[in-house]
Amino acid sequence: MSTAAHPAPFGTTYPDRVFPGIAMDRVRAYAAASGDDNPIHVDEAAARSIGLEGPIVQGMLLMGLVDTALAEWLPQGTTVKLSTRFALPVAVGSPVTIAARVVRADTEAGRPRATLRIFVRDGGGKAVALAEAVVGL
Amino acid sequence: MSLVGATRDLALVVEADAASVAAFAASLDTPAGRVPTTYPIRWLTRLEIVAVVAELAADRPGALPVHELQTIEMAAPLPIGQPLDLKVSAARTDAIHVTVEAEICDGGTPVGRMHAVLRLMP
Repeated sequence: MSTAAHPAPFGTTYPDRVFPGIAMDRVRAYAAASGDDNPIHVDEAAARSIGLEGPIVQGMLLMGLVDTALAEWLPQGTTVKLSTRFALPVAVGSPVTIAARVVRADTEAGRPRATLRIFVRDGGGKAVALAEAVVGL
Repeated sequence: MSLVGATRDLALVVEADAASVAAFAASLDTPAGRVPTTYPIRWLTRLEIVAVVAELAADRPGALPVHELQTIEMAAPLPIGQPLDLKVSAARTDAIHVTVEAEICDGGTPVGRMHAVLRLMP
């Protein structure tokens, strides 16, 4: 049994990753790259038609930014599972802050593994999504 | 007539071509040299799958599907530049939700799985 220290021990936190205002340019770029052409992300009238105050950032874009933050925090890691629950819409233009904490540190087939609980907050500090990631290290 | 309980299955062939992976990564500021974990989720926007979701939501005209939950689990690195099989099962689970399960396989070997819960709004 290895006695090497786990590279991401239980309780480890990472510097908040702040994405400045998620502008319509980024929303459109993601729509083009992902094929997500749901009009509620780019069209004011479509967004209002379902009760939103205006266009909202794609949930999958937020999830992708979580993956980017993971890649920056743990560059040696491989994300093997990522799950995201979306609680509130994020208005286009809002900044997003991603914060994470290791809630489980173990090994899988002899390789260190970390499970992270991740909060995504909008510019007003509201938790808009909660994610969990399992990263092989 | 309610569609709750209705299910649809389909099988597609997909490919992660290098150019689309690069564009996807650029839209997310993914560090150079990495394939975004969420890249395969873009396949859920394929017209065939969008049509299945629309079919399962046909009793709610005007409703748009919005992600409530998304999971992706990878069993192996995503092969780039080769055809992959995508097996999809979609279901109308209740009055306001459609779920989509998808399995990515490379020559019969599982590469990854996706699970989406879509809320029909309004």
